[in-house]
Amino acid sequence: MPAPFFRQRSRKSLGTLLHQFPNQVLRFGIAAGYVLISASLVAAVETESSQPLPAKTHAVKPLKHFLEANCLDCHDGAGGEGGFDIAMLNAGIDNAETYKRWVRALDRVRDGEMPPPEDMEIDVEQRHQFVRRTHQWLSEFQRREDSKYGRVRGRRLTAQQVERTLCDLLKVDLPLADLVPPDPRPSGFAETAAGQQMSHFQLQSHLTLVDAALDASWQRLFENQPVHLALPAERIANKPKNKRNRDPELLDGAAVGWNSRMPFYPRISNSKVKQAGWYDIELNASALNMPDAGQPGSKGLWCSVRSGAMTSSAPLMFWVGQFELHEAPETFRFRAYVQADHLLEVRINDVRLKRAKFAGGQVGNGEGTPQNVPGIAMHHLGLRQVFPGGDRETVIERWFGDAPVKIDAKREQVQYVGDNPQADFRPLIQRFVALAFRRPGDAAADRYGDFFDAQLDASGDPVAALRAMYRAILCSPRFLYFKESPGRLDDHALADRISYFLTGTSPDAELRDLADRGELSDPEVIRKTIHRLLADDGTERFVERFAKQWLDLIDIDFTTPEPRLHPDFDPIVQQSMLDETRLFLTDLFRRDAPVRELVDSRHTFLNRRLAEYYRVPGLAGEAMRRTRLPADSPRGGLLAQGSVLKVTAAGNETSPVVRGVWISERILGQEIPAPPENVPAVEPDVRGATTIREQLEKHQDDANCAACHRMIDPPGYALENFDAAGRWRDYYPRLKGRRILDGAEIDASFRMPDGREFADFQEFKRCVADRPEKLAENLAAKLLVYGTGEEIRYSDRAALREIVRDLSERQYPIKEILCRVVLSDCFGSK
Amino acid sequence: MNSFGHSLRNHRLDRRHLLRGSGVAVSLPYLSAMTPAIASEQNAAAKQPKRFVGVTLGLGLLGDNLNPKDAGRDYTPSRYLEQMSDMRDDFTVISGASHPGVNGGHRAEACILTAAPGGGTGGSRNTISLDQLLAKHFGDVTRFPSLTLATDGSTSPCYTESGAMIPPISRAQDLFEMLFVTGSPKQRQAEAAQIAQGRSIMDLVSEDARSLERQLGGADRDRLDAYFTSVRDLEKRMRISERWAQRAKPEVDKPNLVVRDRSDFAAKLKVMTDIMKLAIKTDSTRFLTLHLGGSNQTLPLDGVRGGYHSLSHHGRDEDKLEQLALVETAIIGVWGEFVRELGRSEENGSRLLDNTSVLLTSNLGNASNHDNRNMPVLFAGGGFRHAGHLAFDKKENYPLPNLYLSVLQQSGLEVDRFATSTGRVQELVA
Repeated sequence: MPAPFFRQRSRKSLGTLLHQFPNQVLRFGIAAGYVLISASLVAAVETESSQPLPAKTHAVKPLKHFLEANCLDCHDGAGGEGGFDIAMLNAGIDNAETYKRWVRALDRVRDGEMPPPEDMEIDVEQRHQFVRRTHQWLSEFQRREDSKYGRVRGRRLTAQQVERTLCDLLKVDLPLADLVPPDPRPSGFAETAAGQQMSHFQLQSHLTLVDAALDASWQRLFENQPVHLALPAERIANKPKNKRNRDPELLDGAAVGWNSRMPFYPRISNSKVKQAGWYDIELNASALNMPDAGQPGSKGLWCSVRSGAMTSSAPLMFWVGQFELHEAPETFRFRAYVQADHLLEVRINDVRLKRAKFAGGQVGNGEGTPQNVPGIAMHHLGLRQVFPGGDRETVIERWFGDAPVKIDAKREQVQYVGDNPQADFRPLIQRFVALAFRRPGDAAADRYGDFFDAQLDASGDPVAALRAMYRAILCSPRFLYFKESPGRLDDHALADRISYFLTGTSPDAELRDLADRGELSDPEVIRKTIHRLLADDGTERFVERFAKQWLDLIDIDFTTPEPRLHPDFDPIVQQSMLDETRLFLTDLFRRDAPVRELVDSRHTFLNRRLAEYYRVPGLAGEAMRRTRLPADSPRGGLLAQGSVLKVTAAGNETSPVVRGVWISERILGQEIPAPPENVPAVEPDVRGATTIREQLEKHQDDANCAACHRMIDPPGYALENFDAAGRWRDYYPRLKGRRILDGAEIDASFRMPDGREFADFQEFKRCVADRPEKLAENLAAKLLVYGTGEEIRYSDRAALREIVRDLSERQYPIKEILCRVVLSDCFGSK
Repeated sequence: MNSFGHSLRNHRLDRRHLLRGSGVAVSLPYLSAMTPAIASEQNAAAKQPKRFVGVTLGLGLLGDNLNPKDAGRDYTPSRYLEQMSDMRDDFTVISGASHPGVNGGHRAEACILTAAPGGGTGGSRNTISLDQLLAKHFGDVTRFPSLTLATDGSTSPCYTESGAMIPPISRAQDLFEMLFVTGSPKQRQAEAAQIAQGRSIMDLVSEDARSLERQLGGADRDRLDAYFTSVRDLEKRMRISERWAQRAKPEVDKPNLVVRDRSDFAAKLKVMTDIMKLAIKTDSTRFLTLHLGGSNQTLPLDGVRGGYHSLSHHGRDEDKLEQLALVETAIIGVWGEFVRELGRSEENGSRLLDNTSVLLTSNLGNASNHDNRNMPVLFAGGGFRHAGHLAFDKKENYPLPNLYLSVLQQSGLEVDRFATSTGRVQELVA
């Protein structure tokens, strides 16, 4: 235990007890404790013992004097200003929360925020000394802890990582993680070790994943006939005479569905697949009744393909893809995972188009034609099952290697046909252990070998024993946890980190070889490995995984904007927004672009649908393409992307506070503490205030609020010109009955925490981009958290500065930042 | 085993015929059929089972609309409680109570049922939640020791002894299948064998964890200890589920499980409470928790335009308060209907409600400023003598853990303390 803050005192108080038995005392009511401690604090300071202090406490003593002299007046007891009571610093700094409080106290004193300059002046040298000593004390403590325990404690694979690793190991590919509850992300990333839970519930979930993967792989041994459906128009359509349903109808030799609001229409009943799996889907189709048919530069119709059970009792739909349909027939191709007994729906999906009305939730032959609405004419649909996880031979090889087995596909049985199962299967055990534990087999392999023997004795069936043993290996903590020892990581642990960071799964053969040969201590080898793993679509896949959590894109479905308030928002717009962000970030990493482009870029990625939504003129086509934005467009950069604007909105409304906190923490690297706890003064009584801005301005008058809101409010206000669905607006909406009118004009001007003024969103972006070192440090921080599984602690700040040091002349190129994160000491040590 | 299952089914079917006309979809009392068979195995007397249901909210309830102005048995119903006037003898509304030393605003969600001071703030480790403590002592007589449910999201207020959060089940379909969909006898046999093998695997990997711990030199000891405990606990659970796996699950009429609109969390709440009712009536479990987190979905209800979370930050804005009141009325309506339904159901000659304590509470007394004091509390059933409106001091709050202690003692657990409790709630003692 580290030196508690106020240890030296001549009489026992509850405070002393708190140091000695923190847990017990905490259990019995810390609130009462606080009050008593702060009372005894003063007394204790006055009657301080004159005994010589142990070395460790020397550092703490002057800090105590400083706080006592400068802070206690306001921060005393449970009612302390801002909900902060000096006594909260009293628990040892081995308590994470207390450590954070110290850091916050240090930050605020160093930045001159505290003590409030308007209330008291403070000797510069005194302040300097306090800052220096506290810094030393906190850093020293962290260094000692890290050398003993490591920075990252007991990290394990996330459900997503377990999924990918199991799929790689067992040569299958299926969305396993959907079977278990999602991992919590208390600090933004499910990778953070401190937020990872473990109890028999989590272990049971893990076993569920293991069993599902083993089952799927086992089934692959028996060569199921891959599903292949080739549907001509006559079979895509499924509407007998006089029958009404939600399938397409046959019209002039094509299967036709009309634009309508009806759910699951047109669904294609004959596209139902018996087997869950990956499918290559090929659709040939053309447009009917295009609104602008025949005009030059005619636009297409936006359509979506989705899969699902398509019944009202199982309404969940899965996105397959989107395309733009024209009058001439075209072939569109998709690859998607489709669950067993699910079918496809192919519909026009553009909320702006005229829709047909049908009675009773069914459509009969010829009912759509006279309504003169756009339609889709389908000529051919093909579904072919594919196995991206590996072909059958690969699966068999992974299970049995060279061992003599006979596979009876009909009975779905595997029989061992050799005469020495131990000798035949032992190498398989060694190999599987090495792959699953991500390091060459050691003594651990013997334990599982013995288990195999025992299972064989019990059942007499070597194949069943082998399967049981694989199951056991996949439940081992060596599979589930990262094996990292304090100090520098060994090559295999480093390979593990690099691989999960960049590819989301276990190291591939080449990386394993490098680790086996001990070559990962060479920075050049690491750099080459990074470039290799990010080659081809590696960058895009990395960006997808990373941004999903970093930017909360995983939650984009959480709210559906109300159509009345957001009349031109629809699923294709949302999907295009996600594509925009993914392609934009991928492009930045590929080009190793300056970090300022994260927020201020003249380019973005758009298709015609999103371009229209963003009011960027002159774009055609369904493909997302890199687009140079007109000078007056506010778009460009993450802050103006619909995806980010949507996940930061509050339902149908925007909140400058929600967005402000989010932008500060995710993009600007400015941690915003939680709102003060139980401070009665903070309830804003805002009756009578009109705009949200006027409401929030009251925060600035209250010192309690202002400290954080001067950081929260600038990005919050600057983004007010974007509504909850990411569309530009000049006025707040005002509801009058069913109508929506322009309300108050939006004022996006404000000033940065450092005093720089901005008049609108564009100027705000520039203010942010002009401090690229902050953006670079923040990006490094997010990558480091995601890659190592530990939050940025006080002592890691120096590491972040080191990572971006001397990159200023090169304008902080972002792939270089990523490389330096991997090469940093933090990443390379436990 | 099979013959046992069959006799149960026959008996059950008879009851079902009897009850069809009464509008009760499920046969009752399944429990009384179950009790002698299983409880005798457990060597527990066929006492009336004691159950606990906790419905927890992440965003509080507006105190002004919830708590009646006057105290005592003859209180005038508040806006929210009007819809429950018919039940007023069956529940108590408690104001001016909270968990001592629990703060941290939203983070105190972690402590709704643990009442552990600092448990949500990272200042100290969280401890076992009320439902899990009950499940630990009384959970092994049912197929599921407890059920942790949520309408959405990945958080629950349920914690194990080691302070790990139990991930909730939020997919109604999954839950229903888990509770009521039985495989063929062959499948069940295979499942039992699979579980038996799982147990021997747990033995193996716990040895492996020991050796790994030695290799790592203790750096990750805490984490591996948690793994270790999990392995041991899971092995214990497996031993129980191995027996259950071979028995057929109870058959019930499938209720509606579909909520079309993802943002309709009130409907989702209803679907979950419907399944919970079935779980209780079939005695599949006795300890259930359902969490409605602080999402920001816009409830599709006339007059509601704002997201739930944004509305909770009403800042006393009249319009937002009114919208929030509509949302909260809907939530309490679902809870009330659940209680009412338990009041209508009987087992062993007494009302199901009298054997089931049903709590509704939240970590936030005031979501607008993240205040953890003055938690909203509705408490029904459980065989308590309900006291109308128990109005405690809004400034010096009454320790809510006292209510939890009362539940524990009522359930037959001989403890004299839960978290920071100071005694049981005297006013509720019969």
